[in-house]
Amino acid sequence: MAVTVLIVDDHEGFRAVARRLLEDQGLEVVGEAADGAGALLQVAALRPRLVLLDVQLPDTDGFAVADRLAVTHPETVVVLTSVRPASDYGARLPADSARAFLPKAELSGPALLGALGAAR
Amino acid sequence: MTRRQRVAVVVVAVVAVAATLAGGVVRNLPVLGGLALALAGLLFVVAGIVADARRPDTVIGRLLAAVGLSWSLSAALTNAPNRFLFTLGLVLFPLGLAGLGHLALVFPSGRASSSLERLLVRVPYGMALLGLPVIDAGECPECPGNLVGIDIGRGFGRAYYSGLLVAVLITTVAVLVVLVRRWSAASPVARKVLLPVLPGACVFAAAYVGGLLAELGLPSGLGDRWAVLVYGLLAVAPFVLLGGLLRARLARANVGGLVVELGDSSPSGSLRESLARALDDPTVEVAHWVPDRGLYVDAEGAVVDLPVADPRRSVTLVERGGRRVGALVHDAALRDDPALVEAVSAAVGLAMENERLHAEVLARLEEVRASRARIVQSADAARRRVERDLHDGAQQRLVSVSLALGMARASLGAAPDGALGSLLDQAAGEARLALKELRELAQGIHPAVLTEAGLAAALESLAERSPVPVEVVGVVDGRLPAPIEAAAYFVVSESLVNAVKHAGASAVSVRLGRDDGHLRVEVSDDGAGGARVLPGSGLEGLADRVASLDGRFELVSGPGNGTLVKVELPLGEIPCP
Repeated sequence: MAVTVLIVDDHEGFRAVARRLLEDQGLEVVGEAADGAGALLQVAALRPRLVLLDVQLPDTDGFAVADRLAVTHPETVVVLTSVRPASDYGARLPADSARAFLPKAELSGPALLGALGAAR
Repeated sequence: MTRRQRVAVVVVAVVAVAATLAGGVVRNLPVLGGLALALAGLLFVVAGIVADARRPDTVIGRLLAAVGLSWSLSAALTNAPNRFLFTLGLVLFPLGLAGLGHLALVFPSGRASSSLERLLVRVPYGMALLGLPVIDAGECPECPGNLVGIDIGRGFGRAYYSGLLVAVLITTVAVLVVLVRRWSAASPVARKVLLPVLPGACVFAAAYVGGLLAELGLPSGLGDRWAVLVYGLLAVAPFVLLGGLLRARLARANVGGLVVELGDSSPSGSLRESLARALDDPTVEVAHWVPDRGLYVDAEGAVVDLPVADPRRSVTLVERGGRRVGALVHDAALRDDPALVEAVSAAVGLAMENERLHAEVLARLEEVRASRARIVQSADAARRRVERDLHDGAQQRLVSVSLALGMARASLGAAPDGALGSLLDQAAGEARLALKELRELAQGIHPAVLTEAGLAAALESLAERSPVPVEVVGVVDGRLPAPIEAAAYFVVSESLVNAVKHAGASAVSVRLGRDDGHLRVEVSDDGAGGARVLPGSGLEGLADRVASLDGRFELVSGPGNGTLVKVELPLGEIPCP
């Protein structure tokens, strides 16, 4: 069974490209959300195995959403993503197995699955 | 008194002294007692004229001169061969004594302050007139005799004389009581003004009471020697009064000192001390008028309520150019010398105006400093916005383009389709380069890491990206106010650029420290040195940025000795974001 993914990003263009990219590489994109509140609702409804979560969101930031999900859905693996490199976030990105970081430019199915593998 | 009147009074007194001497010698009378009285009168006249010149606002000077004149004339006229003039001479002496009591009661303001005092001022004059018939004309067979004199040896004369002595005794005791009460009720400042005169008057009144008791045949302690004491004190009286007046003159001289002292642009607060010295009143308070709020404040800005119904405190308003500047609250005793208080408040008006202008300049300066800080902070905010816009817009789209190009290339599969494949590779490469350049541009405008992760992470990232080794020593825990973080960051980044680009340094060291509410940042390199803060240079921008936060900026850069940039930023009032 394919790994299920929820894409959370306020840029519709990016969501579209990412959905195609991941589906082409064998992942199952079960849903999309444009903000933090939508992300929490969708995770509860769809129970994806993996959430691709943009750091910059219109209503909150990815760190807060990830913190919340770690409590409500500890089985869900969160991969934070951003146009910026990881170094821009310094200590806000803890070396947490349930919380990987992937620069947007490096997005690919294998990279996501790698993060999932690390979480296991 | 006008100048002419003063000269006339002195001339009359001098002529009276001469006439006393001449009359006595010509008519072969004993002159010593009369001459002493005439000279004492002259002393009073001189003291009175000095007093009137110094304090034309009170009746004291004129009263002194009148007492002196009456005694000088009394001495001269009792040598006159005419019976009417002789009798006039007799009555002038007790009238002078009544004037002396008047002086003691109204010193130094010249006004009696209660109806009892007003009564005690008037009664002795009446008694002097009533006493004329019983005044002893002395053992003087050559004298023309008292025009209205009666025999006090027996009968009605004896009773009249005794009754009058008792009335004088009661009046003098009453005066003495009033004087003692005034002294004991006086504030320390008031006592300084009253010092030689009031206690002197008390002693004199007491001696006079003793003399009266002796005259009535009552036990009085000293017997006949009371009379000697009374006349001795009388001779001293003008000196005591002159002494009191000279003290007042010294106080006036303090005003000159005050003007000089205040001109010395003395720091605020010492104005009160200077005033206390000039007025000889340690309790003086300075109240500044605040027209906007319609109230008075002290030097610390606390509201001052002016005393309204306090008999011991008095208020003098200070005006300048018709505008209210403030008020002095001082001991009520100073009201007795209104000229002094007026002179002082005129001098103080200038100083208070200066203080107000000084405060205004400080307020303006504070405004300018605050607006400078706001300008720097709003420029920072604008740069943060531009960086954010780039991130949210162009960078996001370029990432999507880059990913899409990658997917397009991948969809061609393994079969290399010549032209299209290489075109897609080229496009993806260009997109990646554009993304990288855009990220560096955004980084230069405002580093996202500073906003996101704070100073420590931002400096770490600077060090990582630097082409020469950068050692960062010292840690700053937690987040600092945004303007401080930005200033510290730009100090390090600008110094790094200078070290690498201009000084050819091979290593850079960054030291951070936080103590006594300051963040200290030092950046040193081993480059060529010789850096200067030139107009329009990056270093000038740094110095301005640091100054906008009230910080200290120091550049040490001798040629060949590397460069050291030291910055100290106060962490005080700026709120954390």
